[in-house]
Amino acid sequence: MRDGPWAAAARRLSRNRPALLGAAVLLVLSLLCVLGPSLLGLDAMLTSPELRNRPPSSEHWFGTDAIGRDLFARVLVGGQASLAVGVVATLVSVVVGVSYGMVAGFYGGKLDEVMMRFVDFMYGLPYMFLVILIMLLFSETARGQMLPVFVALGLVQWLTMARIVRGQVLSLRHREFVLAAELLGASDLRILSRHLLPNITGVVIVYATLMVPQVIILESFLSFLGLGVALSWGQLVSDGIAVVNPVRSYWWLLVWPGAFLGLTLLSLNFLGDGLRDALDPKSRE
Amino acid sequence: MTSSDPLVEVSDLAVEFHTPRGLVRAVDGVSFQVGRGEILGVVGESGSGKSVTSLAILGLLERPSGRITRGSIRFDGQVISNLDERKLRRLRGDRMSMIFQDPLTSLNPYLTIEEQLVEVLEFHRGTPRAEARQRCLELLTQVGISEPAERLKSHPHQLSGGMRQRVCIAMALLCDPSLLIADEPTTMLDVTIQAQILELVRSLRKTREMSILFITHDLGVISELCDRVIVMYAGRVVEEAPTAELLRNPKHPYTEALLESTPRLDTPHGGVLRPIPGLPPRLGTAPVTECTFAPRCRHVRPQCREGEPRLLPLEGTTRSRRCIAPPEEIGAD
Amino acid sequence: MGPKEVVALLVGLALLVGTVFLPPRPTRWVSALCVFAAAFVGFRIALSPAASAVIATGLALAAFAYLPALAQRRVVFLVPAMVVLIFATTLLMYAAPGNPFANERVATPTVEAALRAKYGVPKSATDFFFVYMGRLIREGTLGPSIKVLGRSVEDLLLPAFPVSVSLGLFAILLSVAIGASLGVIAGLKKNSAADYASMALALIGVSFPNFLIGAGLMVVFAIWLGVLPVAGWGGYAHLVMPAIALALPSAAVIARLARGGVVEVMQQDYIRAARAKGLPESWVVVRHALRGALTPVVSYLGPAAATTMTGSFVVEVLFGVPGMGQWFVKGAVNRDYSVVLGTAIVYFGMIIVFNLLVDLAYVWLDPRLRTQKAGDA
Repeated sequence: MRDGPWAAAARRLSRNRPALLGAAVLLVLSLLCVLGPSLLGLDAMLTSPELRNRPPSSEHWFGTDAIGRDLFARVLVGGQASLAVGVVATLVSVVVGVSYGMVAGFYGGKLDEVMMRFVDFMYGLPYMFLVILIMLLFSETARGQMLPVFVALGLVQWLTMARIVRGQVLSLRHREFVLAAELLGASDLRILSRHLLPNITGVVIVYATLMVPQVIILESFLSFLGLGVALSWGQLVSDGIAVVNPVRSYWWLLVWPGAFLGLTLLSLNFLGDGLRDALDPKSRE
Repeated sequence: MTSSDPLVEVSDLAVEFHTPRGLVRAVDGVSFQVGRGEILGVVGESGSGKSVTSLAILGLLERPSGRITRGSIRFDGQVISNLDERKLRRLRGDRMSMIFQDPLTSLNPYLTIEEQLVEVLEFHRGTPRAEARQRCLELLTQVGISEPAERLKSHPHQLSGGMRQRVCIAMALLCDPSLLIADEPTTMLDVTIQAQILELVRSLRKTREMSILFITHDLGVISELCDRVIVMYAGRVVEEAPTAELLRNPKHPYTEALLESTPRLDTPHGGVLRPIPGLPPRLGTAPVTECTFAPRCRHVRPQCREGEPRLLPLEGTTRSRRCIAPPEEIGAD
Repeated sequence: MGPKEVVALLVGLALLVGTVFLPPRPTRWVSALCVFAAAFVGFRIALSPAASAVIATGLALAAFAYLPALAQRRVVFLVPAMVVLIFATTLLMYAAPGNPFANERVATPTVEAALRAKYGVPKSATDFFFVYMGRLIREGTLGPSIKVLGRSVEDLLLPAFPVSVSLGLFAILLSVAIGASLGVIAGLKKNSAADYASMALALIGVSFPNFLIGAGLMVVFAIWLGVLPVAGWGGYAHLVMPAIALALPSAAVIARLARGGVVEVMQQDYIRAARAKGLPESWVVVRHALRGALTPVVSYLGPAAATTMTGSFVVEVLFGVPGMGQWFVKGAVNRDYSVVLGTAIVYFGMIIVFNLLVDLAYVWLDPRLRTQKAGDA
C-alpha cells in the first residue's frame, strides 16, 4: 500500500547522480574493506623490519609504515573499524533518538517542553567531554576496543534525530489516521509502533545516513586523542600526521588513509543529501 | 501635455512568468487608462492578472522569472515600461506608491515605524532626519493615528492590524504621489476596520490631487469607492465601465456572473446567489483560439469558439467589453 | 555510584525540570540568584570574597532589572544545569575504574589515606563534590592537581585559558564571517559561483575531520610554502591555521543556515514592500533582509561554540597550542579529578557566558522578543 511514495522516492533518487555515485563508491569501498584483506591475503599486523617507511611500490601498493607493516592492508582493516563504528553507533543513536523523539512528540505539552529543553541543553555542550567521560567508564583493557566507542558515540549523537522525529510526530499526531486508531481503542504503544513509526521511516533513514559520517568523524577525533579504536582510519591519519615534518616526507602515510576517510564521508553526505531530496522533498528550500 | 491627459496609460500589456510548470502568460493584451484624480477599480478573481498588472506598473515583477513581453506603460506622459531599474526606483515610492494586501506582513518586523517611514523621505528627497520625522508625524495624524510620536517608536508587532494598514498608507503618501496603487488593502482586516480604511481612502482622495488604482475582488468595495471599473478575467480586460452603470447593468457575461455570485443589499436578481460554474483556464502561452470565458459562459454561442473577441467600445456609451453576444441579452435591463 | 548519589542526581534533574515550570515573577528572582551564584564563584577565583560578593550583587541586580525575559529563563535553567552536570561529571569520574592513587608505587592504605587527605580527595564522589565546591567558594581555588606535583589547577589553566579563549573566539568569528558572507551571497544569487562555493564549503566542512583539514593546511602553508609556522603558539601567524581548521565545520553549517535564511526572507512581503518604496536593492538587502536572514545563524552560535570547543580538543593537540583541551584529556586519562573538574567548571562557565551573550544578541536583533514577558512561550 505504501508502494506509491517509496517508488516515487526511488525514482527521484535514481535521477540524482551525485547520490548514485556516492552509493556506488560506498558499496565498492565497503566490499573492499570487508572482503579485501582475506581475498588478497593481506596482513595488517605483519611487521617486516627490513621494509620500514617504504613508498608505494608494486609489492606494497600504499607503501609501508615505520615498522614495515603494509599500509594497504592497514587501510582496509582500519576501514572495517571505521565503518563498523559509523553504522553501529548510528544504530544506537537511532534507537535512543527515535524513542525519545516519539515520546516527546506524541505526549506533547509540558513533557515535550522538558524533554526538548534537555536536548537543547545537550546541544550546547561540547559533547567531547561526555564522550571522554563515558569512555573512561570502561576498564583499561577495553581501550582500543570498539564497544566503548559504540556506546559513547551512540549516547551523544542522538540529539538531532530526537529533534527531527519529535517534529515529525508532532505534525502527524493529530492526523485522521492517528485519531481513528485512538477511537478504535489502540494503545499508545500500538499507535506509536504501527501508525507513527512507518510514517517517519523515510526521515529516519535520511538522517541516519547523514549521521554516519558525523560518527566516523567523532571516532577519528577520539583516535587522534589516543582514545579511539586501535586500528581505524582516524588512527591511521593521526599516525600519518605524527610523521609530518619538514625534512622527510612520508606522504603516503597521511594521503591514503586521509583519502579513504574523506572519500567515504563525502559519499555518505552525497547519498544522505540525495535521500533527503528523494524522501523528504519539502525540506529543500 | 494638458491635465486632461491620463496619468497612467497601459497599452496591450503582456507579462510572462517562468514557473516550474512552464511559461505562463499572466497578463495578455491589457489596456486601460487612469485619469488624473480618478479612482479606477480593478476587479477579478485571484489569478486574473490584476496584481501582476499593478506590479508591472511599478516595475516590481520578480526578476528574472517575470517580465513584460509586449506593450507599454506610460506614466505622466513618459514610457516607463522600458526604464532601467535606477530610474524606475526614483519613481517608486515617490511619484507612485503602493499599499499591499496584508499589513501584518508588509511592514518589516525588525524595524521601528520611524525607521521605515523616514527612509522613504531620505532616499527620495534627501530630507534631514528631524524634518523627515516632522513630516511623518503629520502624515500619521492625517491617516488617523493618535499619539503619532509614540507610534513612531513602536515596532509593527505592537500595533493592531488596522493601525498597521494606516501606517502603510501614510508611508505610501509621504512623497505626495500622483498615483496610489492599493492591492486589496482591506481584505485581511475586520469588517469594521475595513469600513474605516475605505473611509480614509475616500477622504484622502478629496484632499489630494491623486489617482488611485484600487484592486479588489470585492464588488461591494468597488461600489463604495470607485469612479470607473475594469473587470479582468484570465489575464484580460473583459469589461470597462463607470461604476454605477457596471453594477446596475453589466454587459459582459463574466461581470454578470460575478454580480450574481456576490451578496448585495440592493440586488436586482431577487437575492439568489449563483456561483460561477467551472474554473478559470490555465494560462499557458499557446495561441488563444476562443473566448477565454466561453467554457463557463451561460450565453455561449458557436461563434465564441471561432476566435477571441476584442475589447470594443459599446456604441453610444463610455463603456467597452470583450464579447460578441448582443448587449440586450446580458444584464438586467 | 551508590544509591544515595543516584538519588541526589535524580533530585537534581527533577529540580532542573522544575525550572521549566517556573512562573514569570519567581523566574526573575531565581535568575538574579543564579547570576549571583555563578558570578560569585567565577570572580572568587580571582578576587577576595568581599569583592566577588559586591560584583556578583551588582550583576544580580542588573540581571533582575534589565535582563530580557528570554535570557532570564536561560539563566534559570543553565546555571543549575551546570551544577548538576559538574556533579554528574564527579560521579562519572569516580565510577571509572582506577583512581588517582592506584598507580603509586607505595600505595599502602595509610599512604593512600594520607594522600587523599592532602589533596582533598575523599573516597566518596559526593564528599569530593562538596569538598571541591566548598574549597572553591571559601578559598577561591580549583584545588591542587593530583598528578602534576606542586601545581594548582589554576596554575595549569591560567596560562591556557587566554590561549583557548582567543583561539576559540577567533575561530567562531571566522566561521561567522566566512559562513555568513558566502551563505548570504549564495542565497541572493542562487546558482551563482558563490552558491556553488558555499555548497562546496558545506561539503568539505562536514566531510573532513578538522585535523585532516589542519594537516592539509600544515603541509601546504607551513611545509611547502613556508609562510606560516608549523605549530606552537605566539604571534598572530600561529593563530591562522588552527583557527581555520576549527572554523570550517561551523562555517559550513552557518553558510547553509544563512543561505536558507536569505532565501526565506527575500520572499517575504515586507521585502517587496520595501522595493515598492523605491529603496535601492543594496539597502533593501542590508537594512531590511539581513537581520531576519541571520537570526537562524545567531541561534546556532550556542551550539557552534560547543562544536568549536569539541574541535579545539583535537586542533590544540595537532598544532601544539598550549590550550585547556590538553589538560582535560590528560586529567581524564590520569584520573586527575581536580584537573578534570576544574577544566569542566571553566568550560561550563564559558558556555553560560557565551549563551547569555547570544541570547542578548538575539533579543537585540528581534524586537518582538523585547516586549515578551518571562511567561510567554
